[in-house]
Amino acid sequence: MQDNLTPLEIDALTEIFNIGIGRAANSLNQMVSQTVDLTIPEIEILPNKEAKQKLDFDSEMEISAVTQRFSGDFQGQALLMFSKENGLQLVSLLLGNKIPIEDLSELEQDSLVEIGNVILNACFGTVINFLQSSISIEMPEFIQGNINKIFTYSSDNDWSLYIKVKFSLPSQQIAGHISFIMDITSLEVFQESVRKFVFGITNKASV
Amino acid sequence: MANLSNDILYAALNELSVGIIIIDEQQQVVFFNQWLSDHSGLYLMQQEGKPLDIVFPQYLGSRLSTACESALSLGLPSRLSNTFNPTPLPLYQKNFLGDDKHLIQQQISVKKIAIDSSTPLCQIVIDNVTHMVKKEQTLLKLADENKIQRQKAEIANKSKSQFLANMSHEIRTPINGVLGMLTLLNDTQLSKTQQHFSKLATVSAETLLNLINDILDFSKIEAGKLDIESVAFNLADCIDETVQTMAIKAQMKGIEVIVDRTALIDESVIGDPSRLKQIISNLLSNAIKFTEQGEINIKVNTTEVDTTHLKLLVNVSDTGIGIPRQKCSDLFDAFTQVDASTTREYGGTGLGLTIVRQLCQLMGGDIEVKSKQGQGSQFIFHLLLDKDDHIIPPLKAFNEKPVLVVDSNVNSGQMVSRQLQLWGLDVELCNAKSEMKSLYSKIENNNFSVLLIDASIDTFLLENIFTSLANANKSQSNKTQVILLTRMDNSYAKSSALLTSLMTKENVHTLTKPIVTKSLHRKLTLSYSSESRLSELDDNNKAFEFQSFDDDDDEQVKILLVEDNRINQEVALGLLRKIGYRADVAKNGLHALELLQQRQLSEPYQLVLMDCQMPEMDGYQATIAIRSDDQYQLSSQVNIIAMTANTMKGDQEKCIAAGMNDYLAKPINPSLLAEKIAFWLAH
Repeated sequence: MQDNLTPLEIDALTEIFNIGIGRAANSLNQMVSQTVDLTIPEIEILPNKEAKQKLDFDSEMEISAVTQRFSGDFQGQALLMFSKENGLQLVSLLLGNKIPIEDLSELEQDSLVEIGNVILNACFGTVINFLQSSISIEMPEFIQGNINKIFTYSSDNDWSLYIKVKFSLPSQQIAGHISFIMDITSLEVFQESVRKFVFGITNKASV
Repeated sequence: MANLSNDILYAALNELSVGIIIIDEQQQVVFFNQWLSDHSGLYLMQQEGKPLDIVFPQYLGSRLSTACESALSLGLPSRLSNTFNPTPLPLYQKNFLGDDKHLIQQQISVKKIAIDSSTPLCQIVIDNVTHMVKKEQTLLKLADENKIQRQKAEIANKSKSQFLANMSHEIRTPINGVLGMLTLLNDTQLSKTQQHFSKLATVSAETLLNLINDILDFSKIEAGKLDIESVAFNLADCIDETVQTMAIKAQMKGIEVIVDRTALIDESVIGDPSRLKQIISNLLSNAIKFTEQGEINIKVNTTEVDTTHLKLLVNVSDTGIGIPRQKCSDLFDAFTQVDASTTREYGGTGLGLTIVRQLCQLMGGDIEVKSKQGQGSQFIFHLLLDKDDHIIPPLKAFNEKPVLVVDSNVNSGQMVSRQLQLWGLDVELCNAKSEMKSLYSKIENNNFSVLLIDASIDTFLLENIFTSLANANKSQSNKTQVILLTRMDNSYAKSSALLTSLMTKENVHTLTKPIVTKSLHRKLTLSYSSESRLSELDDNNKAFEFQSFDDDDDEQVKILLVEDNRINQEVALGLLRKIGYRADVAKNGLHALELLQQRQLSEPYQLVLMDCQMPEMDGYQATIAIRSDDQYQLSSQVNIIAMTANTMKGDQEKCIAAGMNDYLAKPINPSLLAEKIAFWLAH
């Protein structure tokens, strides 16, 4: 890849994603009795292979993920991933379950899908609103399995926009991981729109 | 596709068993299908073109409307799960329209319909998940009930254990009284008949105690409360001790007990010695019980499993009545004996072997039985032990002249020979019955260093052997030493004048059967050294030393007995009197504290024997007071031995934690009491 985004551009990207994720937090708060705060402490663009390692999941660890595919200006797959335990914890905290659960029931899986959907939609919304990109997005799906199963439909040659999401609940903090997986062409288009956006605001500021 | 007319598509949408609503950019109803009509009671004709929040007031400001907005404006699809949005729209089961008890549980997908040419439309698809919700609720309820049941069962189980602990205490206390009183009774002037009765009563009381112990063990294993210890111990010693304690009963029946551990490699191991003893004692006591004549062989060996584990294999075989083949399989089930009449004839709970098998399994092993009716039985068990780093140096080898072994029992003779050979000695083995004639000339002509002679051989033979030996000794400078293999119960030796005279001879040593490796080695070393036999006699008498205490030496009462039960007071005082002590008695913890305080300035007590469960103040509280209250400062270091019928695991720890020095389980074993008293008075 020719040009990486500059630190300034990454900062701007982090900023707009935080605005988007703030909206997701609002939606979640309306859905559940708990107050949830969502923040994005970290964004990175890196090869898919490195992104997988960065997730810090053991190769045999069970992961619960919500995925949505996208196509248009750029195309690929967005993933929101939790360790199975964290996913269970998040669902039971948000549902106010008292009994500790060992496995998500079908309906509870669905609630994790909805949570993932809200968060991923917020990210997509950000991309569409701020970066003026035209993409169409598929319905969310649930996947569970080890990291290789989760990444079945992506190759090591792909790139990943890696976003860390922190869920702050009154009693607990839970970490989730978002990966927007794209091929190199899509990534270049994406980076180009980020550059345009940052150029736009810096220009406005200097006028 | 192009062939499908609008009519067909309409019809198809109306046939679907999901709800479909299509709205336009202003969120006005464009279409909904028959399913939605059926479950809402609304007709498309009347609602078409109306805003959705007019059709369904619930829609206004709902999560569903937010989802529709972002689908219409940004093309973002949404999934509304049932858990977060159970019934977003007022849809009812057919025939129950308007009845809130029959609301349909929904799961909704919202998606923009992407048609480039026209203005955007949004499609809401509603799934009926009522059945699934009901199913999960039922499952959850079952899981809850299950959990409650489990908690109930756990509580019940706990109270069962507690009940057992209490019962064991309650039952042991009176048995202690009975056994103690019988011990004292036996020491009084009794007629022959009375002695007989008292002996029978003792046996019965002991049987009852064993029975209770068995039942306790069994219940503990059943409740999963039995913990296997993991301590370092000497495997060979453990086996020898166990066999020796059991052997006397066998010898009284005239049965030979042979323990062969020549194949035992590792002596120092980590495991549970008391449970191992329990297994072996149990098998031995069965073997003794069911054998009328012949012998009992115990073969022991260890093999290496891996770098840290050993497999111990023990084979206990007897020449007893045996077990019919078809009964072998359920021998290890609880409460089965070969048949009901066995119980009448031989006694026992039928729990022994069940406990043995469970103990083996708890220690990573198992047990099997091989038997034929009338031809004896073999019980073979194995279990896993951990290796201990500590290495016990092997016993020193000998390089003396040949040794002659004369044994009336073939197996016993062979085992001793094998052991002697392992120590580097040349051994000649002679069967006392068949090789009589050659035997005498052998003794006279060969220059044996030691003769090992079974004392139970024919007196005539024995006499001749000693004559031959005397002849041989005349012609050589080094006298041949003799080790007489005697029975543990040597009452018969006393009756035989010959044996008595032989045993006092200078070159004659005695070794009791069953022969254990260490004693055999010690006796050989003794024979080969010039040590006088006096030290050996001392050795033998040590165990009885405590009986010779002189009453006058202990005039001052140094011991305080704290015990609430009158009978047990009597028992303890009687036992103490027997070994030469007197004691003051306190009837509970408070009383004990009073006495301690009174005496602490003049002649403080040196030892307190403390019962644990007493009214007013128990033994634990009293001990804590003695150790920590300033009032008893001068007595605060007095030695305290707990005496308690609480024998559940943890009792001992509880006593030590309270500050007691030692622990004696009731019923009190007189020699153990003597030992402990002697020890603590000296410290």
